[in-house]
Amino acid sequence: MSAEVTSVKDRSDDVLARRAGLGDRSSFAEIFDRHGAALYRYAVRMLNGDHQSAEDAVQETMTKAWLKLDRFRGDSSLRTWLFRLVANECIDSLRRRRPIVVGDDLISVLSREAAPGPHDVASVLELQEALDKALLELPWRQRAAWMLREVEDLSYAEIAEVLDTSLAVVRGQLHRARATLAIRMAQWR
Amino acid sequence: MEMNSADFTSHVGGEVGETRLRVASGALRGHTEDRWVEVAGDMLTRVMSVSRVSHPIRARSVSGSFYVSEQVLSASLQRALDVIPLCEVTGIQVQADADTYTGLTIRLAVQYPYPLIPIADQVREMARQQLAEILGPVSPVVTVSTMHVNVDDVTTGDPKIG
Repeated sequence: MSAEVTSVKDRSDDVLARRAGLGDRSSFAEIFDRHGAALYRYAVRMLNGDHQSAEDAVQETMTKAWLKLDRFRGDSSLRTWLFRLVANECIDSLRRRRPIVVGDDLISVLSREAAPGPHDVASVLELQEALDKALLELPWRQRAAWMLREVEDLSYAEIAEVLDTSLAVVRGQLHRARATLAIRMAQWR
Repeated sequence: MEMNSADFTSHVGGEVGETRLRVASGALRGHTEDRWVEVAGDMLTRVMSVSRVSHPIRARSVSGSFYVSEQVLSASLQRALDVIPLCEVTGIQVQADADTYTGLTIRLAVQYPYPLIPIADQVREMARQQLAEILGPVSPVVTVSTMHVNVDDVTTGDPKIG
């Protein structure tokens, strides 16, 4: 029998969630470290680059997680559950500020002349900035679905759960988001 | 033939747009916001200063009685039991009649193929000591009838890692 002390870093999300649910603060701190940056990255983009609102949304998410983890049964993964919490916080934040435009037909008429040649070279940072700007143009659900799939690597089923919608809707939103973003990135410069 | 909107967007986006999108997405996946690095520490402190709603359990010491929240009791039991190898506490339920402790149920995940009974006995004894330390002398005394140790899960790997 081994009585070696297991590092909190080695523990799976399921174990951390269970321990945090029992009141173990170091396990919750590890959950915070492991997922906080991704939740913030998502919130900033869903809240149109407003860092203060993103900070509030993530703090509220983590507070709810801390208070509710003793009832977390693991029906979804911890990561999916946290993204669902933060997605709802972002929606609430936007509702408090102004009406949300959720239509899927916001792609403006695009000029083919703007498309650059294939040999355009750009720094990765510039491309990332261009992507951030392009994301702001996407309708909310498309942006959320794209972020969760392409950046946070959630499955289609997990995205459907986070956004409280169907797999078919997720597929459609992703298809439109990818197409629009590819156009915007091609037009960049 | 009329081009539908999906064909149109794919056509206009083309290879250049898709390549750029792939590069930018990859950069975003590895990106941590500077602002997050600045605020994370203080945010964690604020979050953890929030207390969960929890029932009070009466404890007794030589100077009189006082109350311990069920949450504090569960957390301290979990910490104490964590030193026992080959098992992981998966749940703790404190039974109480109003504010008076009446019993405890501890749920475990245990590593296969180690014998369960010695582990359960170790857990019960460790929990008894911890209860006495936090609540003082408890009644009813700890027996197999008043403290249930349930093995809910058996794992082939270390249940503390998952």
